[in-house]
Amino acid sequence: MSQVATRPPRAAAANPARQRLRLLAVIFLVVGLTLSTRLVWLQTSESDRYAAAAQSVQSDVVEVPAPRGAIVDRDGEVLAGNRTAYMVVATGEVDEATLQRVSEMTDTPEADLRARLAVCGQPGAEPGRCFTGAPGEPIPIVPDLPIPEALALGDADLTGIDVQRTAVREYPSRVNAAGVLGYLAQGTGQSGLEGQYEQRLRGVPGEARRQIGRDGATKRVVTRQPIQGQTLRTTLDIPTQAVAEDALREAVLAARSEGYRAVGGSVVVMEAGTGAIRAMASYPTYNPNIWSQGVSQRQYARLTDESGGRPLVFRPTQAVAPPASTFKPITTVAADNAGFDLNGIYDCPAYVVVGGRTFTNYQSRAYGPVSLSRALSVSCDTVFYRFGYRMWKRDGGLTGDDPQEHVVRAARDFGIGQTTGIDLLGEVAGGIPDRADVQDEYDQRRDDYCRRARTGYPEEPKKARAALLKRYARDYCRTGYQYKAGDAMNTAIGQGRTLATPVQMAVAYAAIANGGKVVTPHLAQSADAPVVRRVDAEPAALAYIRRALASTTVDGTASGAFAGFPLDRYPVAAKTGTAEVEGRQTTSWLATFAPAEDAQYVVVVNVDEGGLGAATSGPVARAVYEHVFGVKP
Amino acid sequence: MAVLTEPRTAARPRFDPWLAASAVSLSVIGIAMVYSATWARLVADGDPGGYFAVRQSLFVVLGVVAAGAVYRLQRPVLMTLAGAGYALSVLGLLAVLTPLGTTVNGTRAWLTLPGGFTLQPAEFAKLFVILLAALWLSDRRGLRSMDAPPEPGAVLGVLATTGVVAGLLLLQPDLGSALVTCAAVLGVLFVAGVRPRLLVLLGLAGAAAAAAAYLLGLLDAYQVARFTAFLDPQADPQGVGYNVQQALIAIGTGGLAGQGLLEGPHTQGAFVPYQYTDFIFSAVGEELGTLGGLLVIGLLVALLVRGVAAAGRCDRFGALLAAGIVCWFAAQGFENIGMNLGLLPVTGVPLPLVSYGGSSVIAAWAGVGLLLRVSRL
Repeated sequence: MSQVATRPPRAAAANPARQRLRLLAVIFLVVGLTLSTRLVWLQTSESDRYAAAAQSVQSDVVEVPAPRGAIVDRDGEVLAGNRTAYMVVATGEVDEATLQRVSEMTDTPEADLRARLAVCGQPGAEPGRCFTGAPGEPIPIVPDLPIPEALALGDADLTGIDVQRTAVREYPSRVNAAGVLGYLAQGTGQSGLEGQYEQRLRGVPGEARRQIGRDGATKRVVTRQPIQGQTLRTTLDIPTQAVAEDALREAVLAARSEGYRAVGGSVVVMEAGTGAIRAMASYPTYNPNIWSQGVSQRQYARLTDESGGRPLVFRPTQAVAPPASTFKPITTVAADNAGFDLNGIYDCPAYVVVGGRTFTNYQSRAYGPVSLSRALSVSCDTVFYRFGYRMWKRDGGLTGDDPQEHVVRAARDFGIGQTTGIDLLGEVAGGIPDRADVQDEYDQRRDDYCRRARTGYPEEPKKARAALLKRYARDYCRTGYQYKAGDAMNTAIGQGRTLATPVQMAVAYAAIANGGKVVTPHLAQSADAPVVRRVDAEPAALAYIRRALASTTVDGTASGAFAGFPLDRYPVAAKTGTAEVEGRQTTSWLATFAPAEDAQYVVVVNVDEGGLGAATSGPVARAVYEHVFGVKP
Repeated sequence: MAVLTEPRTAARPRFDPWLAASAVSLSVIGIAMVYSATWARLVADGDPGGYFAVRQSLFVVLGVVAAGAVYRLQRPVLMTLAGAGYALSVLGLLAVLTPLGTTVNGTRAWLTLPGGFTLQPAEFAKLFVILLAALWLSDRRGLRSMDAPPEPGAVLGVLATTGVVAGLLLLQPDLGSALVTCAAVLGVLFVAGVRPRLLVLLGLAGAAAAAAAYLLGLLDAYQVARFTAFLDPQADPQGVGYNVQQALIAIGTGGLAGQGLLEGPHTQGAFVPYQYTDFIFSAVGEELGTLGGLLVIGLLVALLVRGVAAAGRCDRFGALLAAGIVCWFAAQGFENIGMNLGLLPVTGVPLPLVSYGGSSVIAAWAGVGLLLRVSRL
């Protein structure tokens, strides 16, 4: 049976079935048109918006770091430079097996790698080792890898691991100068000269656009070239710095062998007329290369530990101590300003008694009637105690109405109590309180101490000490606002509450040496280092003091230290100091300049809890002078 | 060659070259875009760049062979095939839900075959559901006219068989395929003469079923979120909105003539996920531009319209079958392009004949074969 014959004839166009089919076709055309319209709209009206979105998805801007400027000494020898290092970064998720391989190939403990992978702020992150950048950025996990290992790791092509070239600081000179140079963290200077001159050293980073290319590979196009950082030319002299560092270390070790604690020390070698720093050393110090290799938790703890001497503290600008006898020339200037006769003869007994208290000379030695020059040279305390007392009496004693406060004024004039303005971060100012300061402090502390006067110190385990503290609190509560005779007398010999840094003392002694100019110490040759002011002191007084200090090395307290030194050719002016702080051993000071007239250099040495002024610090200053004057030791 | 004119009373078989050409063009474009969207990453991984393109070509060839086979089928064979095919499809859909099935992107939809190939029963299920529905709603001998009202029993039977398949699809869960199947069957019912009111009711029932699926926890939150992301792709740019956002970026930067084959940065950079499957249209939009996109839409519409024309030329069975297949292609094709354009919710349905996928291409070509076949019935 033919299918054709039995098929019914097709009906006319008004057929409902046909209409339904027609409807379907219309629906399809309408939908098709709608989609087409949307397509066209997206690709015309919205094209800009999507072009921008595409750009932000397909490419990202990366920073091209600029090579950091080098830090060089006055002759151009490199103190801190750059070298290429290979570092391992984690660009994505790193699984256990990969981490293990990286650990094996780079000889780094897995625990260290894991600690560095943690982003700071997330749970489990260790401060000091965690990643300080934003999540999603590549994380450096091995900061400095030798080339063969770097190449091997690169070839291994591990997932989520990339080996990148980067620049790290290297320190090719023979000196340490770690504290002066400072360190970098995340490529930015944090302290010292690296921190102070960060803007100049870092240069200007360039910009590159990372584009996804045709074949899926990334293409880097540098859109802005980086500008190299400027070289920082310093005033330092590497040979002098080497001598200073070595001598300081030996002095500290010698003091320790003598039984002193000698926790640390400073040397400052400065040009007397300009303030340019030739050498500056702090002991103990550390190896600055540790920063580029990644500091472990243990290393960092050791660096900041009290018992280790805290090598991260840069002592010349950040460690304060009472200047002790090195303050006496300032008292001399104050006395001269107050009208006392410089050329007079003054009695130097073994001790003086004021207000029921006894103030003694060192070893209670009496020198009898002496000139001021001799008093300075042998560092007689009682002469200066008396000056302090007499000026205090003139100021009205306990109830001064309009006190002149010559000593404090002179000290501040010479720079005590203010920062010197040296171009290093973190300088401290020390201080020397006057009557107003004592009153202000009393106003703030009185309530506390008066309460303690009543309740005592129950938390103090040692009963005797608790009783002592309570007595002191009671006294303070009653009379803490007073500027007592004892305060004035201690201040006159550089004790009491006076605190100064070695660099402040260097500036003060430079003012004595150069005829009264308070200079701004500086390390960068281009630093803006003006003469701050001229001290309010008679030129004759300064000359007198210079002569007096010159005799200290001849027949004064420093004569032993400079025995055999050609003082006839290079007279060295010096003042020793032995500072006392309750509960600690004495701190050794030696402030010098040479030649005594038309001085070129100021050398200040300080050894914290290092013993006596001349004995401990003397050899350091001597070594420096032998070097700068070309004297055979 | 007008579409909506008087039906011809042709007795001899008519091969529709326009329909065939549209299908072939779509598949060729598909192969080219699959290559463009995949070669870069394959090469970067050290694999041959033409891997997916070659496989897609194979699928197209197999599909054309299948279409050829279908084209020659005699009517009785077709009828038997309907039942058998439906049964096998249901078995397949059940099988994927067992441990035999493989899960991809949260959907258990695949069976692994030897040779590294996979089978997606859902694609064939659509075909056989339509075939069965067309069969049921027409006299088995194909003698009934197109205007006879549908038998209620048949309608219920169709609804039941469709419902079973839709339910199995929802269990995967594959909401998109379930919806497309229902849309195709609704098309068949519509052309069969079921009253529009009933159809609307059925549509609502379907929506209710989908809602039930969601509430019963068959669809997880991610899939629902994906579904609604089209309303605001910016809402979760890194999550469910990401796919659509990247597709829109690709299309939006296409321009009139496109960035050029193999030259579109978004496609080449592999920024659009699933670009060689569900989001193939975004590659067309970026690299072939407005012209290319309109071409694809146009080819699809041409295919649909030619299919409708074929339906108009045949008897009841042929017409219902053609209508079903056309509605299948329409629902799936428009949904796919719509989601690429950010107009419709994201469901995991491929663009028929174009997207990469063996089962999808072969099933679609079988459908094309049937469309070509029906004008001979």
